[in-house]
Amino acid sequence: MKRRDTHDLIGGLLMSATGVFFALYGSQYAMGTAARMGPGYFPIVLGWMLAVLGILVALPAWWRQGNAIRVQWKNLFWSVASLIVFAAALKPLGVVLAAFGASLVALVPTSMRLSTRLVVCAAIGGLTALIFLVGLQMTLPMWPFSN
Amino acid sequence: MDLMNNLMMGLQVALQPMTLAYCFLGVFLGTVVGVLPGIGALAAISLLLPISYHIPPTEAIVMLAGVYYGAQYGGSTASILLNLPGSPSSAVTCLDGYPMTTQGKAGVALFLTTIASLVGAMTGLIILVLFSPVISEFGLEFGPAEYFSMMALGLVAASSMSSGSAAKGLCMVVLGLLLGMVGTDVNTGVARFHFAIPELTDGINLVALAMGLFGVAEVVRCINSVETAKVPEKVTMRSMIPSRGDFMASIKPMIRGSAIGSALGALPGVGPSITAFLSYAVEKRVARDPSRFGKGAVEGIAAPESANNAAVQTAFVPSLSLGIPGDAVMAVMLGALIIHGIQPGPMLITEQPGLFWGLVVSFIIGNIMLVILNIPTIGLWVALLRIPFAWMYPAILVFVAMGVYSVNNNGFDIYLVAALGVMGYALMVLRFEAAPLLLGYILGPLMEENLRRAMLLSRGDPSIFIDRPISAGLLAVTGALLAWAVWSTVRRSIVAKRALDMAEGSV
Repeated sequence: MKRRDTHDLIGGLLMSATGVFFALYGSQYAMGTAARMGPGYFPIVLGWMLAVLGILVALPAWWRQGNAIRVQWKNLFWSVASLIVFAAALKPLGVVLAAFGASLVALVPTSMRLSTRLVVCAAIGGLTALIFLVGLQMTLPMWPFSN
Repeated sequence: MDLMNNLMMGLQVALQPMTLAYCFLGVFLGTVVGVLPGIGALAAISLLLPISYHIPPTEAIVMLAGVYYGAQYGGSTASILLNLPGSPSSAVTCLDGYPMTTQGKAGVALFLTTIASLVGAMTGLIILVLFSPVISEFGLEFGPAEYFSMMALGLVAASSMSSGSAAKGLCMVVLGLLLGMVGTDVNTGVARFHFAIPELTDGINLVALAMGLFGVAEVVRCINSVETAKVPEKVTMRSMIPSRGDFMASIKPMIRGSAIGSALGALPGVGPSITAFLSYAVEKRVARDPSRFGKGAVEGIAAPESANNAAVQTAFVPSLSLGIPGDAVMAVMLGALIIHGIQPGPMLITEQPGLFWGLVVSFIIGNIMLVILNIPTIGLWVALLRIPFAWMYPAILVFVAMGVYSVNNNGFDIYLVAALGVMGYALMVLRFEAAPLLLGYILGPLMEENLRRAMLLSRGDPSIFIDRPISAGLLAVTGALLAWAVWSTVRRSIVAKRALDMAEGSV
């Protein structure tokens, strides 16, 4: 047996699931009438619409050939980790160290020499402080516990 | 002589030093992101959104618009030199631009695309100036029913005209509309879909959504990809001067491309990419010797580059005259206006003449700046393409985080952008286009509002949408588009099914 178009199969089913979720979760809000729509009316209609559309995406995919899904898990993981590190470090450690640390985490999937890596991260730390703290006058600590 | 007075007023606004500075900043950054493959105008505009909140609305829109059309100029550079499009709308330019590079005519190609871009942009601009005030007067008669139908048309057009399947495009639009529902309902004050997270009662942050979908997801895709590892040859200014023959041969294609781009670009849902493809197809058809295309024909780069720049200018027509964005970039820009307390709509041109005419004149100035940026300083942009992507992308991630934080001074938004980035990447992997989603997200609350108002006026009778002629016409076009989308999907599915049966039969 040949491979099916898994992209649309999975994507369509995920869309349907999201639609059903919105429709069911939305049913806690008042529907109202057609003349006086409540807060639930539009989202519930849209939710069921998405559920139907998702099936329309998934169904034809069953009769179609396709390639395997390729996910760059490593890139995804370290990029998201970099954002989370930045968010967590921003207040306690200040902008410069947070940017430095986040860049270091983001650079994990590349094959850069350690010295270049440190220079790039330091440059980004300095640049971020320069643009956002000096240039745009944002009120955030630059260094740990500096106010 | 009304027009002259208005343009003079626009000139006064546009020539103010701060406006000029933001205009330059916009077109400069636009060229940067246009040149770099992977990062598009949408990512750049969403990065600049937080900054635009802190400056006056006219300057903000001048800057954001500069990024949009600047990216069209820059986009052709990578297409010509590396055979990969710097922005989606310059994908067609690869077809004949890269062969020109392999023949040693890279400089000529870069020069001609810049001139073609200028011709296209100026043509589009003339259409914008002549038609926007007329259409906005027409729009004054629009009621909620017309607005709802117009938005429905825009959303359906944007989803069915995007590449790939129409059903997937519609999925994205509806998902976007649903994400737009998150937050407090204006009519009743009920907080919806906030999942007990207090930050979500204000809705999903526009900047976080745009950056997650277009910034983070693109970065994840481009790290250590082969595309971003290519290095271009150096280009000198002397090599840019085209021969007389090349120049003459590109004049007519530029005019045809500009005409196609400005006519179609004004329609909601038709973006610059589609007009570029169409004008390439037209050139191939009218050419005496179509076999030259794909082997370095100057017509093949001049026409699409004029078309996409013209389309970018006329895309402002529905946005500024009716307040209905034709594509995701326009939607983000209108979102920025709304945050400044300016309601886009047919009243915009009369209520904010300084903003409208100042913007129009800034387009002229910005396009002239772009020609200067793209011809004498081309060496700079080629050098930019030689910087490894690994030196830049950590900075993009940090700027995304900083930018999204600065909107509300709230760390929650950084976590939100991380989550939305995962969603954006998932959509990219599953080959769903994210642009219609963003359009749906911005139009969602507006659409719900107008639907409710229309139904309230008609006391719950949906025939209000068919009784009013303009609304009925818009819905008829929407229905036709949907029917066409269904038909083409069914036809394609049958073909694909046969191919599968064949493949399975032969195993």
